[in-house]
Amino acid sequence: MSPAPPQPIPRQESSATCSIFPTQTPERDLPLHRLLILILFLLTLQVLTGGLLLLSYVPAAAEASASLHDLARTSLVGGLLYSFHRHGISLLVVATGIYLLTLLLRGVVRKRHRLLWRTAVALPALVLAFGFTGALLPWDLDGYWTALVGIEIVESVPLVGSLLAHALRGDAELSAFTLTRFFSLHVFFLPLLLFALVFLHLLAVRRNGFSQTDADDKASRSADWHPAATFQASVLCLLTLAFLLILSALAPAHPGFEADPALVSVDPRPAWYFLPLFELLHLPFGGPFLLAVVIPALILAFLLLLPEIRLSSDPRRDRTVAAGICIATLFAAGASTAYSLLFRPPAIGEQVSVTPEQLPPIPSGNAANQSGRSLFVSEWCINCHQVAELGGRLGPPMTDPVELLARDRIRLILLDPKQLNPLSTMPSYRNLREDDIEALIEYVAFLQTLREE
Amino acid sequence: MRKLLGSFRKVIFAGEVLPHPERREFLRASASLIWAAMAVLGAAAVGASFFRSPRRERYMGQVRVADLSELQEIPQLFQAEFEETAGWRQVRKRLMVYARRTSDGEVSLLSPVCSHLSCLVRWNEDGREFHCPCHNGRFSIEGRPLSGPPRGPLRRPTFEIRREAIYLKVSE
Repeated sequence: MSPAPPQPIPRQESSATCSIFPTQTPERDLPLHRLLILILFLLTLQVLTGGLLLLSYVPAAAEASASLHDLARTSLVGGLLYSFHRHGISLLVVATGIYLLTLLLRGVVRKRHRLLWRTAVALPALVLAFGFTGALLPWDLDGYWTALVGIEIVESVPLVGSLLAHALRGDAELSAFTLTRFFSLHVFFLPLLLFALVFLHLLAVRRNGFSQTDADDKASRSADWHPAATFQASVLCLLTLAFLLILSALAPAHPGFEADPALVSVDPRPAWYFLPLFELLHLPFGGPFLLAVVIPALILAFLLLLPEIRLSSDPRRDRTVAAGICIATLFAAGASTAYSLLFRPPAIGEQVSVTPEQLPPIPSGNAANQSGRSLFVSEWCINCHQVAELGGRLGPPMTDPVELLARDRIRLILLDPKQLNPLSTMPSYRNLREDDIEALIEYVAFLQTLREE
Repeated sequence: MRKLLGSFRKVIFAGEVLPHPERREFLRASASLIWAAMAVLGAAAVGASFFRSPRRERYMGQVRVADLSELQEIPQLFQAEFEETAGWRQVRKRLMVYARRTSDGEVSLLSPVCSHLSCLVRWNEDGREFHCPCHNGRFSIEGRPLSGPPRGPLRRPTFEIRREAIYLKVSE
């Protein structure tokens, strides 16, 4: 490659202005352009997978969970769609965060970058709003409690809190009406905002680029946006797609147990990107309003006002101080997320640490099999039902039962615990795969025959 | 504004044709006015839609949650169902309550809804306390907050004892 002389960048292209992307861009801005293309790609992917999920999803409390389960279980593409959509938002949180941090470190904050910076700040905030409203849509336990706690936090705001909470719920309490409301927010109102935001952001990038001054532009060699930015971005998008595919294959997302407002036996956990907030709420002082409304609002306000705030007399030091504050906050958030993931694992029933190997082994010739034994642990049975003095005590013990249950009765309890006992606090297992249910029934039937010595 | 009203009077009532600069200003102001009016109407529609909530008809009587003979010294969760019509939907709602008999024979009732952020607390026999699984709040057997974020005690529902059974009033 022969070094070309620095070329001035035409600010006002007369013929090519109809493109929303720049035609020429300084070489030093290329990484930011690539990251932006990746974010646009991920957003498009969310819109597409979301749209395709809409073809099968039934936004009603009685059918939401079952419709998504059916989709995820019966078709490979359906399962992938759901996993892509659930994991995609995680990637978006990361990508928009990295983008924002890069903008800050490059100093794309002040003066003419106000619009660019502020729309970039609003982007991760909007992604989190998508995550919050989307969590309720499968109508599963974690989503239900995320929404309930989230709305309670909104309610803690003085004066307007209860009004806002009411608008979010669409009802006096969290109910099927809330699902309708979150659904319309998630698939209509928030996307509307998102399109406006992306439009404004692209406009700002198109108008001023990422450089501080025109002199900066002139100092850097310029390159054609397409393919200099687009080629590597395409590779990046392809790699991300491959990563999503691997993630969806290794850790397929599926709706959890169906939401049940009367289930006392659940340890609900929000999505990982809400864990810093979740940890903050554990503090024994401050209260929900201060911890979960004022602190996030202050962070958001700090970021939005960063173009105006002077942190020191020297603009160069200013940037360092701002970056320092942001990195420190990010570090605290990361540390609390790690703490949450390590020390507060989700559970249904009591927190127990029992491995399938500790459970009674199955004698050869028995219809029960190993998969039933591991399902008994992985599907949380052991957290409520004791087996030979191991496990939780919320439900009746499995070994040495008062009465022996026939297999069809065990099936009935698994599928619809409330049909036999309306006051049961056991979650329904009707969304489990048929062969898994079969394996669980056989293992429970085997456990019942064990006698305490 | 006064100038605008003046122009308005001239156009509507006097049927005058405004001179050029005044006409442009008049059209500009009228256009802004039209858009402002539409924005206000739009905001009203958004507000009315978002703040609308279903009409609720609840069975407002008393429901039986437990027999006195069922009570033990440790709190047990009892539930009762009642019918409710919300909007067009008929639903069965549940009332949940922890009930126990204290050492001096009194009946003690506690709501399972955590005073912090409304998760459901669970009785922990080992620690002899209520534990909230959401943010680690702990409450004594009387419902007093012991540790963690909760400040207030667990709510004590009002109840009535009739014919050896506990009845709770379904409230709004």
